Amino acid sequence: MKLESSKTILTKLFTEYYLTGTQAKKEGKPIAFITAFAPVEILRAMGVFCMYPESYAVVCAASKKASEMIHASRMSSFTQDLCSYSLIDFGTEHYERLPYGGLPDPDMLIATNNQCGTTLLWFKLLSKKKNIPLFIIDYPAAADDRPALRQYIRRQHESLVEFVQQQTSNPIDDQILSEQIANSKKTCQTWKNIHELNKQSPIRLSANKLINALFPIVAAKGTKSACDYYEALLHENQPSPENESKGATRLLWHGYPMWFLAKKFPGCFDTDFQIVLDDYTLWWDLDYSSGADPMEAMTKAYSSTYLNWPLNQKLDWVESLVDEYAIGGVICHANRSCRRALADIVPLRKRLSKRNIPSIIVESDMANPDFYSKEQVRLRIESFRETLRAS
Amino acid sequence: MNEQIIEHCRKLVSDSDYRKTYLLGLKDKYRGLTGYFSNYIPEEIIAAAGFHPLRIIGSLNTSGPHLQTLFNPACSFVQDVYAAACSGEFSYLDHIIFPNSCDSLKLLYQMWESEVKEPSAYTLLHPINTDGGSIEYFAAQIKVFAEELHRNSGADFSQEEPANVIDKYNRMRGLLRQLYDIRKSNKAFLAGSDTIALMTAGLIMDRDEYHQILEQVVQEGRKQKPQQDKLSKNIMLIGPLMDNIHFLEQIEESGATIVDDDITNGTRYFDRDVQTQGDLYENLDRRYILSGPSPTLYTDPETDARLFQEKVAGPNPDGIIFINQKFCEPHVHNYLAKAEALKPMGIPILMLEVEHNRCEANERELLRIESFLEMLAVAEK
Amino acid sequence: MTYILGIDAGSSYIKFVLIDETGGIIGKSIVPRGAEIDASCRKNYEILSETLEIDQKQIDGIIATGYGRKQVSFADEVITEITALAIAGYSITPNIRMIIDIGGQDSKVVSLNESGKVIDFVMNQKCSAGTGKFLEVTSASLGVKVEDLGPLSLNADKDLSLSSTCTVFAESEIISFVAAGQKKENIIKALHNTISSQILGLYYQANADDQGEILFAGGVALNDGMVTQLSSKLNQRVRVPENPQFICALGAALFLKNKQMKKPV
Ligand code: SF4
Ligand code: SF4
Repeated sequence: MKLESSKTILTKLFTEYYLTGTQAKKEGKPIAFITAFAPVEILRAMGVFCMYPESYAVVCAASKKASEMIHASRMSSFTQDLCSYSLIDFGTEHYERLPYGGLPDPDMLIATNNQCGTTLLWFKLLSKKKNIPLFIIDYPAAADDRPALRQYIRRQHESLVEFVQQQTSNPIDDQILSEQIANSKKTCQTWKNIHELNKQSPIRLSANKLINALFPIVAAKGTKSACDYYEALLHENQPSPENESKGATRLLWHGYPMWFLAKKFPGCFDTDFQIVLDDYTLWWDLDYSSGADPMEAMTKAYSSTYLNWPLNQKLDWVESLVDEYAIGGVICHANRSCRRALADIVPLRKRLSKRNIPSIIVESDMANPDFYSKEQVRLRIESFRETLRAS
Repeated sequence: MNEQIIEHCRKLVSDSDYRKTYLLGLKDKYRGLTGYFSNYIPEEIIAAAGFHPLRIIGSLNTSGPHLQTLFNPACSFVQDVYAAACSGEFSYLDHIIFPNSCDSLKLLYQMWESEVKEPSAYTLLHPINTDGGSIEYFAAQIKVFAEELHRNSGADFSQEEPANVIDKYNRMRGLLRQLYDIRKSNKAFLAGSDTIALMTAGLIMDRDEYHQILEQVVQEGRKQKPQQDKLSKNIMLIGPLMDNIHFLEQIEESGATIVDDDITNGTRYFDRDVQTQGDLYENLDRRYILSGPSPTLYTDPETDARLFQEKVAGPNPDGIIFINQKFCEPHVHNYLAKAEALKPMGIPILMLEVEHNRCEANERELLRIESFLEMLAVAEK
Repeated sequence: MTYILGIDAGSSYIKFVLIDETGGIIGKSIVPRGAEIDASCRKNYEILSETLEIDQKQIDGIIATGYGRKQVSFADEVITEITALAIAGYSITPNIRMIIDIGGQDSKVVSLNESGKVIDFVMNQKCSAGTGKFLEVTSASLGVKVEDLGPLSLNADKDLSLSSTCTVFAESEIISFVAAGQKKENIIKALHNTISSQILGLYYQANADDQGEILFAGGVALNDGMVTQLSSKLNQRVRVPENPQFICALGAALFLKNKQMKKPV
């Protein structure tokens, strides 16, 4: 049997995602808007089609509409300091040339705080504006070592089932749930393996390619297609037999890419000075390993997202990536949209400097180009290159 | 009105050296000093363990290039606290308690752990939902917190002590409500800015002393005959913590009377008591989590709007001034919700964003305040 | 005959308008602010009355508005620009529902109801995007005089867009446009477009009532290119009054006149 290419599957996944949304609306099937780290498996097992406004904001930014949409949000100027994903979403209401014609109206909203508090505020506003029921899941940080916290999360997952049942009268299908979890687990594993190809030099997939391969794990994790996609991608990119090229500087990009740039990362890179990894794409490698019980697995997976980790865990992890990927320099993106993601930059740089790994900070935004100064950023990265070369 | 009392309160709020000296003086009386943020931390538990609970406010005099700063979208209150913390301002505290609320405070918590270190920080993981299993969960968390504190203090833990403390705090909240009541019929008794100073100082001061002060003030207020209203506009204040008393004074000088508020260090602090019958932890939990809408908690938006409208209908102000800390995200959303709720009531609202460590309203802010008051004056004619 | 003097002590210029009992403008002048606002106001008040050959005793009232309003020690009354704009706008035609004033340091949008009362107002945030300052700084990096911006932009033949609304960032973008050989005219049009977008943002916030006319006040309204861009953004031709830079001073003077008329004799 001939395997489908990853590219074909990706295109299919993308179009299907947007088409299914519109179709589901027509057929009266329930649609949920959910945040990036919501337990999607439960919803799918209850026949709910899930869409991700954050992912849609990315599409808008990548099609260079972010700035216009944010202006169109007609929100007061002081709101311009909010996360730009949310502002882009607020702009959809007043903007005409929406990519894919916009998202269909959802029947329910699910928001979690395992990434930030922004999504709660954002979804709360949506819920009020459009009069759509909202369910919020609280994932206390550090849930790992406290059984009472795990219990609390589990109970909330159970309440989510009740909530969805109230909205749709669909019961949960345990079979589908188990399949979804198994798929998610596999997807995460494959995604990680794909990244690991870049441990060698030259790398197999540019950071830009990895970014472009992110969509399925964000929006289709748990489905068979997502599994297939990453399998195919891994298959197409086997480790190369080539010899290691010595002397090249391998860089880690720490944090969000810049979606509005064609290449997603600013500056000039080449084989001698190359981003080999963006740790952001690995945020989706959730840990589903905890127990055979799907509910237990989700408790662990969704409470220990990167942004929900204690600081030391974050630093240890990034440091381990630096070791494993033989990183020679780190570029930290201080993304003004995301308060939670800013917490680790200063301590991380301290840690790195103890180990003589140079790093710089680039200040911008992941989606709003108004906060991106091309010249300033270019200068910064260029001079970083010179410093690294001199040392 | 006792000038000395107000002066004492103002200095506790606005002068960090004065505050520090004062607090160091309490070290002998208590097992230690426990700083905390937000309205979600049950002070009673801290007090019952023999510590003196005090609300962390900024220092209002942190500026200058030498200071450590956080990245910009951290709110200006958090920026200011961080700068103060890095220069050792909170080193006299024994520990500091963080809530599970906004992203700015979560950011501060992580920076505290990594950069500030002393005093040691603890997060009380209160729930963000107010239904389902949240109540039991929070009760359990408060218990863990209490045990931790007691282990820390070496104090003997009994149910009796918290009950006494709760009673004391309820009486204090009662006095504050009385004070606000007096101001309703006699605005001239105490200026709005002085009232907020008195309120905020109470979050820092030794509670026994505070109790006496409040009793004295309330007694005096009862005796005074209501005076003729000045020809100024009645304003209600909304927003997060607002401890910049001078700024409030400037608003009043522009021709406004602050008659009521819905701010963290105002009515939101005392509007509810802790029940004394039943389970201690659940009672605390109900007081701290269910005590009314808050932007970082999830409550039903319709109910929130209705409760707010009721709260405004009482004092029926001419206008509302919403003072936000620059970069405070929850309260931008809170503002949007409040502005919406005010529309059917026809009460105008003005949003001001302040930078916490800037003590004075600048020209632009004054212009906006004055224009707003002129707009209210013309609207009336 | 008695007169009323309105002084608009703005951040860059001080504007004087003298009106008579009918509200008609008798004289006006505009001078750079100078370091001493009060002294400068007094001196130019003298000059104005001399030029117009008016005895200062005939001047029944003096009112100040604008950024330096409180420093004008000889003013009998002080009001904010917001109120002044509203009164002037309404006096021009009662159809006005919104006034856009682009000043040197800040821009204001005031919305009125059908009886001319202010129902809402917004001002730009602290940054200078969307103000006259933005034009000043950026025209300097193009080597063009501010007064030439308007005519030049009308000759633009291509739509460029600035990705940034921040003055600092925009400056470097302009430099790279110039380096890339883009025509000045087109760059200027892009600048006007950027400002207009900022103003559009304020317009939406100010509870705009779509039913009425929009008045464009302030010195920037003399720039035809801006008028065109702003009108196209707002989907409506904005109305530019005669002497747009004197609108605040006029409004203030009218405010005092109205007040004095109401006063019991
Ligand atoms: S970018 Fe940050 S603040 Fe925005 S939605 Fe994502 S996690 Fe939340
Ligand atoms: S001012 Fe706002 S952002 Fe800052 S700590 Fe308070 S609630 Fe959080």
